[in-house]
Amino acid sequence: MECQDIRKNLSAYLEGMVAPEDQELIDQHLASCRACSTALYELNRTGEVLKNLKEVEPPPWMKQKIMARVREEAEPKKGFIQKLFYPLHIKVPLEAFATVLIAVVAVYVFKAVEPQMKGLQVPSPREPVIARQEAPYPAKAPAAETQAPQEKAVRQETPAKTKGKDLAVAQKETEKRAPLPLPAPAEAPKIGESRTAERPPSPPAAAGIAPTREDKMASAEGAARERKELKKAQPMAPSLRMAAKAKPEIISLMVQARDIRRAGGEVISLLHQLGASRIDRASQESNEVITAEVKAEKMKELVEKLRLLGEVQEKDASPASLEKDTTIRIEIVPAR
Amino acid sequence: MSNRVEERAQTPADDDFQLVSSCRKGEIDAFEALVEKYQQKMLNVAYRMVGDYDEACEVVQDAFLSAYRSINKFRGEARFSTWLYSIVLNLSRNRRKQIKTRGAREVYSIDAPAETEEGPLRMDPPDPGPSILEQMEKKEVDARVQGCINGLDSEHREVLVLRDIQGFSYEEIRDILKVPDGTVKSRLFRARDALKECLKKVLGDL
Repeated sequence: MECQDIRKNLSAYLEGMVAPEDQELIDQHLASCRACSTALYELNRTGEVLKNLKEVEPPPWMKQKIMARVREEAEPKKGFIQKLFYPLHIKVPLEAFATVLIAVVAVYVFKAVEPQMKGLQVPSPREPVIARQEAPYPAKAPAAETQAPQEKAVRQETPAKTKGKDLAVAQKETEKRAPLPLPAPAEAPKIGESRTAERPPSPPAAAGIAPTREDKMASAEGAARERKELKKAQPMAPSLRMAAKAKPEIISLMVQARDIRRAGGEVISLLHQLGASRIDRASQESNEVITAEVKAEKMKELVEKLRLLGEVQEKDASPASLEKDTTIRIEIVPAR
Repeated sequence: MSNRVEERAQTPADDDFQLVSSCRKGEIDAFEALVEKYQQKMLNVAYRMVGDYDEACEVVQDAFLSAYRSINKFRGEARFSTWLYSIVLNLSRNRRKQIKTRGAREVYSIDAPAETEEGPLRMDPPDPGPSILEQMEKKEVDARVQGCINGLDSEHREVLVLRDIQGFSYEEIRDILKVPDGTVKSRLFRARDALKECLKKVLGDL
């Protein structure tokens, strides 16, 4: 064996991993070759140096750190929630989306509510006026008093015409226009204003949201009714009474009854009992219309008895508060 | 050189089986026991491979986490420890490449003058007096030896660390590195020879 072959096997020789015959050859060579035995010595020393290398100790925090990460891995459900809420790369777009969504919804809601918001901004000066209007008739109009909350509701639903208007201005204009037999359509809402003050619940749309409809009603029922309305507003506009006196009164009531024919008969007999004159009955398929002239003092009793027949809707001002004989128009419609 | 091999041969082959089974069932405490058992050896392998204590700590943490994630893939064909060491060796190799790439660390060369904490090592002729090894503090010797280990090729360093420092058997090394016995032996011979030459340079007389 040459030195080179011996050197190749020295590593295995050192560990006793060479074949027995090779072992013998190497032993013989080492005994005679100083260079190879030095190489063996150095190799052995190298092994010793490596063996004597100091072992490093793990830092005390290492196990805790490993286990903390492992536990984080072991809880996938919590991990998912954390992913949803904590990492910025998901959270930021989520927040941005939420902000935009809130902004869009806010604008949409505002636009949808805006008209109603205007309605709610009924000028506060109006409230004392209502109080004044109701004050003179406490004894005469108990029904009107009980319906006060409903009236308020009606007023709130008729915003367009009252918005931003001081009542004093409205009165002034009403006074100015009162002598005219047929007020111009544009005035109707203003007149309506004073009417709603005493008027029991009536369809809000007819009451004022659509002034043109109000105009039609006004013209259909004649200027006389307009005068009557003005008269009712007398506490705040005394001069209106003078203008209203010249015209006859027509009060419209609507009674809801199950059997309109029978109710019609009962109304007729009721009118007779109360000494009404010029009783007229017009039967139609969908309603019964009865007109009659009733004395002012009987009016309250009439309304109360009508209430026993069914739900009474007073289209105009409460008839119970009238001071003189009036033509009343009772429309009987089927109850809903 | 073979003391540790004998120690290792006495260890039962499947002593981790129970703990590994418990881990698969989601018992984290069982994994903690395995971490406790192997962290030091893992750290020493990583430290000798990477050459930096802090980096080695990082590698070991990553290795345990990686093992936990894929413990269900461990089929028990080899011993759990063998599987674990192959993970830490792979991660150590990768970490070393990263370190080399970012140039954060000087790599020792067998031919270039060795670096110590005090600067380049002077290549004095062998002193006729007491051996330099005996004069030097153990800490410094360790640093120089580690410098030489760092200078070895990856495949030579692996077998040297596993066999001569950690005392694994040839069979275990073959399983960990997944190379034939002959390859392990030839790599080991070259590794020892190269290291011997390097040590002669940095330590003087052996």
